[in-house]
Amino acid sequence: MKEDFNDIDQLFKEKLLNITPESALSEAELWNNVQGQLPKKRNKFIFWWIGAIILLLGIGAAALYSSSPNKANTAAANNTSNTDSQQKNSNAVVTNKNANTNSNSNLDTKTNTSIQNAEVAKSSKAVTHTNIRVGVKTENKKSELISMNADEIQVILGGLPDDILVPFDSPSIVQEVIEINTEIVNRIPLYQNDSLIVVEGEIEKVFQIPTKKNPLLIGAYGFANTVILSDRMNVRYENQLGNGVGVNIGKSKNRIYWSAGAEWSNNKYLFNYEEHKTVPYTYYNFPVRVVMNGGSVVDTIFQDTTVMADYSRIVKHNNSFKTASARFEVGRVFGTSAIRPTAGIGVGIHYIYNQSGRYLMENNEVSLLSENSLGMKKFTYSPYLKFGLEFQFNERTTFTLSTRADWYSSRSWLNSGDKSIVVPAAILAVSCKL
Amino acid sequence: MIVSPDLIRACLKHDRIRQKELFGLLLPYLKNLCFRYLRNTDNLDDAIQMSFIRIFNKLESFDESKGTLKSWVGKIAINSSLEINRNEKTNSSIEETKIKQLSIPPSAIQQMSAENIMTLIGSLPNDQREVFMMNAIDGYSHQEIGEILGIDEATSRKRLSRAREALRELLSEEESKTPSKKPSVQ
Repeated sequence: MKEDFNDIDQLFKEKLLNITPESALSEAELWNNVQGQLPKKRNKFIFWWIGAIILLLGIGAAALYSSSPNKANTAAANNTSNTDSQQKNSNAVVTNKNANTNSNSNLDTKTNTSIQNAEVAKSSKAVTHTNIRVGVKTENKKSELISMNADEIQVILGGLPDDILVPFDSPSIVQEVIEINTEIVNRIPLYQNDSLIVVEGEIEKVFQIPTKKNPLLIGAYGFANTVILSDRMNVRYENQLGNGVGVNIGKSKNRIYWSAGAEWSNNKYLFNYEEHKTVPYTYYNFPVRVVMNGGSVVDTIFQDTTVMADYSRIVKHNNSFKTASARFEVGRVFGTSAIRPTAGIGVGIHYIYNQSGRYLMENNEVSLLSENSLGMKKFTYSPYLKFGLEFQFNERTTFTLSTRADWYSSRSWLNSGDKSIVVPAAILAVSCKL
Repeated sequence: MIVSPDLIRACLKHDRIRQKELFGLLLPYLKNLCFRYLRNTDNLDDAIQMSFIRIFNKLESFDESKGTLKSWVGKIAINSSLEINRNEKTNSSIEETKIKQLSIPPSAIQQMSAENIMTLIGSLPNDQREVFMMNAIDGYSHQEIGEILGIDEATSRKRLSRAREALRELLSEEESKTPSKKPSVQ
């Protein structure tokens, strides 16, 4: 009997072990499905971000160094200074600065981006980056110089010693230039103490308005965003357009601007993985923002350091969760012209709570989730980059057009590693100073 | 199937290229294994994917001193397949279908197609089929079977014995329908 069994076993063994079943999916497709659910290698992205921040700081430091006056030129410039520099400094040149940061911690859909309008007095910023040439002559009179036309000025400039570049950081020179001639913007002669000071440089359009001590600012913005889902092997664009609007109000005091606002947006996203349905939902966000812009180093490098806190709520289609977020951002405004670029880098940390609903994962992961949990991790993070252009329309109004991309690691956000999510957004904002 | 320790180490570091290499090495074996243990072979892809995800996620717990990688991944694949069987809502109807499809050719058992052999085994009750497959085909001990299925060794032996008996009867029955052919298993 035992031998019979052994024979049966052997027979079946020979047959069954040689079966080569055909699966519906190819090996490549199977692998793609498998790897999509595997934890990804720590690709040291955090180090890239740290590197990027260091690079940004380096560029800022380099810009600071390159714009520093050398001693000789500083002396020349100082010789020309009026005694009213204090007065000029107090006549603050105010530039509106829109920092487009918002915190939505909501992974799934949303743009995570909005704008808060911040305005910080930057009294010495308006001309910081303008290079000028300084030369000295003694024979001309101030009145003559002022009456000269551009050609004549050019003749004088041609006879000057080699160019000496100094940063246009003397408020007195700035004021002289603006007062004497606002039309000849590239060749400006000045006369002082029997010396001719020829200033060459682009005098950019700046606005000087009498500011209140603690100006009130209001802002409004709108944004549109989309969603890009990706894993390493498969990047695809999801036609998930979102949009939203927001308002904010705040005050500037002692180079710190704070504001509070409200934001609404409407988005779509693949909330239900199992059925691959696109589920729209509404998102509410209440951002509170502080912009620090004070101190010599902070002014130059951390020109737009922002700390934000958000409260968000999402409710729709049986899925809901709340988030509390904090963002830290380092940014800069480049140049002093009326239209100037901005750039920033930041990271958001999000706490997700009160999750409820049904969030079905792909394949069999669903069994791991309870019915009343969306299965999200409580904490996640989202580094982001932003670039923008701001346009100072007049003394009180600034427009900003920004783009911003937030990156969410699915590994950090969801319990199952499925897809990375990038949320690019475009934001248009206006801020007014009252 | 030779898997180097270096490959396992690389997989533990989530090296995608090496993970894909291991995937390629294990795929034929796991495909065969899942196919044999599934009640409904439509679930083959799901079982394979589930097995691999678990293998890569649990690779840290693999201990070479306790057994070979083949044995370790085999247990995971079997567990995955059995889990899918349990979740299969239409178990009974599938079983009936398989029995209806049972058609053993009158020739010797050796000439049976793999599909028919699978159908033959599929006609066994679940508990007997699983134990027979694990012990007779894949060589797991009753202790290991007990751990996988959550039963004691004696139960495992009993089920194996019943499975063998049932298979023998099925084969005899089929042979008796074809008197001109000599049974190959005697």
